Amino acid sequence: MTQVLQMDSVYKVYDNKIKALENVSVEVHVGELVSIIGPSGAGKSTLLRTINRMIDVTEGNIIFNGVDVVKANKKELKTIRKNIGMVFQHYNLVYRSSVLENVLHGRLANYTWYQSLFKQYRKEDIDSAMSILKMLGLESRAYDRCSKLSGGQKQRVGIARALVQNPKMILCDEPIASLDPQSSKVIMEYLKDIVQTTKIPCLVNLHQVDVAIHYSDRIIGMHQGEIVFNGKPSELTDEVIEKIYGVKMEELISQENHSR
Amino acid sequence: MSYLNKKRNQLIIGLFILLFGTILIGNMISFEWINSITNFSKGVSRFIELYLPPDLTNLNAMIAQMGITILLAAAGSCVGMILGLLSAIAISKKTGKNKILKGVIRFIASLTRNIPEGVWAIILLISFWFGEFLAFLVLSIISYGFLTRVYADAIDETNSACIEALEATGASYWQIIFCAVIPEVMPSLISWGLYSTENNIRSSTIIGMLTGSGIGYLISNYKHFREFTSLFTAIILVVLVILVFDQTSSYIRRRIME
Repeated sequence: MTQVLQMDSVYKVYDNKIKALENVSVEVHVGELVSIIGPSGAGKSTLLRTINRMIDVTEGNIIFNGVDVVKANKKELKTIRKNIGMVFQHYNLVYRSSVLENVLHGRLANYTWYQSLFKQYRKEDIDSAMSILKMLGLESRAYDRCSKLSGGQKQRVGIARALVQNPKMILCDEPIASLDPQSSKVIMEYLKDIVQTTKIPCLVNLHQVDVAIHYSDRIIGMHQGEIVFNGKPSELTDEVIEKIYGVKMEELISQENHSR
Repeated sequence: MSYLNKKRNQLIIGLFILLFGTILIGNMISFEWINSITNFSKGVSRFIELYLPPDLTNLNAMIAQMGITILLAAAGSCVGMILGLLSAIAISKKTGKNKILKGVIRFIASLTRNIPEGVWAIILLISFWFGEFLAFLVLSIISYGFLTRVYADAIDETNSACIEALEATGASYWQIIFCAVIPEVMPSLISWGLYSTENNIRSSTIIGMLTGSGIGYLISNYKHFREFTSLFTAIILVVLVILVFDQTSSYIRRRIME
């Protein structure tokens, strides 16, 4: 399997001395859907954001697609970000713009500033944006404002924006945390489908252990900035979950049921 | 109920302070209380005698000058909108990058905002002499100061999540400004721009008196030559224009905000 991402003993300490990542090493290969689970504040979001350097690491190496992310200059960083799609918990769309424009934002790195000011998008980009929207079942909403969409539809626009980049990898930061169970299922099915058909690896932060077990090829468990588990979903035993979350499996599930 | 008693006492003390303050200051500027009440009817009859009926003979000239006043107001706020938006991008917490530039622009904007328009007119009179250009300059300066402030606040208040998302796709700084920041703040840009135009119509009447341009110039002339009936017509015209513009702009603002 071809390796896309290699993180080697990465450390991240924030200004307020909080250790977000401690000796984190992760590898991601082509065609893999990898979930990261762990309690809030375990460093899941930080881990994702160090990959496209939205957050700078304190120490360690990150090699993405053969390029050193940590030492990348401005131009290299742009190429790295161009090749990584990102999906967010709160969708992070421009709500006053149309669905199509939001999807085309994924292509911005290929345009100059005046082309993007006057919206001179190339025909092939518009075509690929439309075909991705069609695949995600949003073709009829292409010219609607994003503020009119439901949560699940907004997240699909977010995925379309990531896909139109032709990324080598997709990072999803809690993509289903703000969605109802039905929409969550749809989004996870799409992600799984994308990984299987396009072979683009996907690194997903998740809160729901059951979802992670159901959809992932591999699960990474984090606890207080450290990786405490890295393996197949079938290897995720109750003891391991207890180690990740610091509480017993039964308590965890009953809490989840309460919150729903 | 000592708490309620305390509240009541505070109210009574406050009212006393207001009353005594009014009397004290009235005495200090030797305001004649009794005369102002007994002569009120005399004042009204004098007003009627002087200002009524409004003289409509010069109405055409007045409307032409009113047009100039409105144009000056609109031109001033257009310049203010363009420069104000650029400055707001530079000083906003979310989009500002350069600290020195931030400080300089903050200083200029607050200077232009805190000097009243009349004072600007008098200061610039020395360098630019009378006329429409001076009025345009003063209106641009005051709209710039005001709009920089409100636009910067508008940018601060927009959701910055989409900025992060575009950054993650590899978009450049100006692409993020054009594709995420400006679309998100567009309603505020337009509605505050309209508000500033509205304000400018009011201000440009006053500035016209000082700089000799538009309807303000006519008003100051009528006052000078004691043509009070024409003066009254001009004032009615200004009030009408402001009322109409106020209604239209609030209608447009409502539509945009939806």
